Order: sequence, then C-alpha cells, then structure tokens
Amino acid sequence: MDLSLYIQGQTILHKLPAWVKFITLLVVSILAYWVEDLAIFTVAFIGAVGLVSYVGIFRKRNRKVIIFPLVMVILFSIFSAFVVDIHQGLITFFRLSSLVMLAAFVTVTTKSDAFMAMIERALLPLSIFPFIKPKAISLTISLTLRFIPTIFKLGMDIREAQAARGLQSNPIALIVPLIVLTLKHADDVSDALDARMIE
Amino acid sequence: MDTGSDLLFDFKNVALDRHDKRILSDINITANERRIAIIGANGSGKSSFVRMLNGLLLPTEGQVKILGLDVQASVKEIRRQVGFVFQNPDNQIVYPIVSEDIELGLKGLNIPKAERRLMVDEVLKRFDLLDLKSRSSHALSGGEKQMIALSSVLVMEPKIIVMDEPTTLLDLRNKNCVTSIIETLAQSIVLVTHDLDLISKFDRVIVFDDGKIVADDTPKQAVAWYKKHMS
Repeated sequence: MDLSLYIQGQTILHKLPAWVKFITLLVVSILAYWVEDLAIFTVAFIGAVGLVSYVGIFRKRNRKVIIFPLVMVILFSIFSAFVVDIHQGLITFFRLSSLVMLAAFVTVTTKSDAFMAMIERALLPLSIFPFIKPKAISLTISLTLRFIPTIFKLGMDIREAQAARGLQSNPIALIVPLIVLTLKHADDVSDALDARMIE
Repeated sequence: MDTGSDLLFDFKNVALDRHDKRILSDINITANERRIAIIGANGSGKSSFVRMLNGLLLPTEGQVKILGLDVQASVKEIRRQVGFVFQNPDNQIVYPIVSEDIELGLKGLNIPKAERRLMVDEVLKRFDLLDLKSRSSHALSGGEKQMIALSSVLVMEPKIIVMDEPTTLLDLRNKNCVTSIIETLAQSIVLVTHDLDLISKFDRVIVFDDGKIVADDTPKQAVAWYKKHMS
C-alpha cells in the first residue's frame, strides 16, 4: 500500500507551482459539468491522455495510480449508457476519465511538501481564528499520508500473528490490539516530532 | 553556540517519575567523552536516561545540564544541539518522501529553501543515499530507513547524537553499515545498546539496573561487570 504517488521528473509540468495545477484542476472540473459536447470531451480526453503519458503514469510501475479509478469510470459509464443512452455513456466516460487523469497528473507531479505549503498558504487568512493553525493542519495531513501505510501494516501483522495462532478472522480481535498499537505508535511519533523540534 | 561548558552532560541528584512510578533515582554523573555507551537490562531506565539528554523527559528531582544548559530552562536550545535517533525509524520519518523528511527539521531554522535543498543533497551524498532522495519513505528497507533517520538528524548539525538501540531492528548487513557510520561521525555519541561488540571501541560505558547507575567504566571493565552480574 503506497500513498506516496509522486513520480520523479524534471519536466516543466513538474516545476509548475502547485497552486497553478490545483486551480487549473478546480476550474476544469467545474467547466466539465457545464459542457455537454462530445467533440469537446474527446479533445479533452486526448489532451489528458497526452499529459499523463508525458509524465509516465502509464509505465508499468506507475500504473497503479490510474488503473482502479479508470476501471470505476468505465463501469459507471456502462451503467450510464444502459440507464440513459450510449451518447450519455460516452459523455460520462470522457468527462470522468479526463478529470481522473488530470487529477492523477496533478498528484504525481506535485511533491507532498509543495502540497502542504499550498494548504498552509490557503489557510493563512483563516489563522485569525485562534483554533485554526495552518502549519498544524498541513503537518496533520502529511502525517496522515505518511502513516496510513504504517497502520495498515500494523493491522496485517496483527492479523498474521492471530492466524499463526489459529484465530479465524475476527474484527474485534483485530481492532482492539490495532488501537492499542496505534496509540503507542502515536506516542513514539510525538516524541520523535519533539526531538526534531517540529511543532 | 558557545555554552561555556565542556561537559556533554551533568546530572545532579536526578530522579525521574513516570505514571507515579520511580524510573530513575540517585543519578549523579558528568561526562565529556566522545563515545559513551549505555547498557542494561530491559526496563533498567537507560532509555529514560537518554531521553533526558534531549529534554524529551524532564527530571522530577535534581538538575540536568546538557552542554552547560539547564534542561528545564533551555529545552529548545538543547534540542538544537542534541539529535536523537530512535530504535524504530518508522516513528521518526514523518514525511512521505525522503528528501522532504530530511528537509523538515531545517524549515524550523529559517534556512532559505535553496540552501536547505543543498544541505539535504550533501547529507544524502555523504552516505551514498542520493538515489533514495525522491523515494517513498515508508517503502524503504529497515536499514535504509535508519540511515534516513540518521541523515535527518545529521543535517541539523547537532553537537551530540543520542541513539536509542539504532541497530536492534536491523539485519547483519544493515547493522554493520550503521555501525561503520557511527564510527566515522565527528559528533559526540551517546549510544544505548544491547550489542556489546558494538561498544568495544567506546571511551566509556555506563551500566543501568533498576533505575540506577551500577557501573561506569571502560568498555572492557563495564562489560565484564555487566556479564558477571546480569547473566
């Protein structure tokens, strides 16, 4: 399980400021729901395929970023074609797949620290409220991205240890030790953050 | 920073309680050696002792000075001077990408971005880890993670590095790699370990038992004492 999806590269698209990519994604996402023209969507789809190919998403080791969302889009489009008509199915496919590819493109070309810096800047006006701390929020998001795979692995380890002792799959037996271990892990991470002077 | 003292650490009548239990008592010790090892049985108090060197734990009684600074009054300055490498690097690496994680501590020092990146490259190059720079930190091997955790400490240029069993979770190859790097570090090292071979070249070995210092000697003498009394 890997939540870090950044693909290393030196292209101009990698070097674009994170906010430019996110604002573009936002604007395109809104526009996509105003347009119903199949020709425009076809062009958008070809453009999106070009973008993701250019940054290497379709290469074997990077494909995981895009495969699952695209499969979901295809299933949803088939459903749409059955329920409404083929034209609507095609519109749905081109619209959603273009957006999914554009979102994947933004994700794989933006480092998490650039993403965090953007969130911090975006939240800065809200820091007039004492309970909103942009730095703390961006660090929390970063820690979440970093530790989801670790906690997932903790769960797998617990399950494996229980299976080795002959215990059948049991959610309660998994959740209780997982919570205990996660809390212990959180304590250790908190110590490490203190030691590294990260507030 | 000139702290006006040669002593790495100075503990006077120190006691430490955690969760209403006395963890350390009667700790009186000063040190200025470059390589100091801490050994002892599990639960003997050695990890709690080294956590006080970084201000992660504060004494319940007595006074702790690190590089001449009182740990109660100057915890931030002390953390700037004392790097800490934990047993499990998974707890220490907090950013998803290696270079971002190493750079993280530098952000708090208000170093310009370009300089920060240069410092990250330098520390990675020093340990021949540049190829890991853009890798996902959680997907590294145990040895690589420990090297990255050590790099994230070294990039801050501390005067003292405290290591709490840094080789415990490593296989032999990675253990040897980390060990050889420890030997080359210019900083003062305080190392907690169960690996008695690792500390043979150290200047001083302190033995803990039941929250107290029970031996404090050269590696040969201290290890002999430990083997005699703890086996």
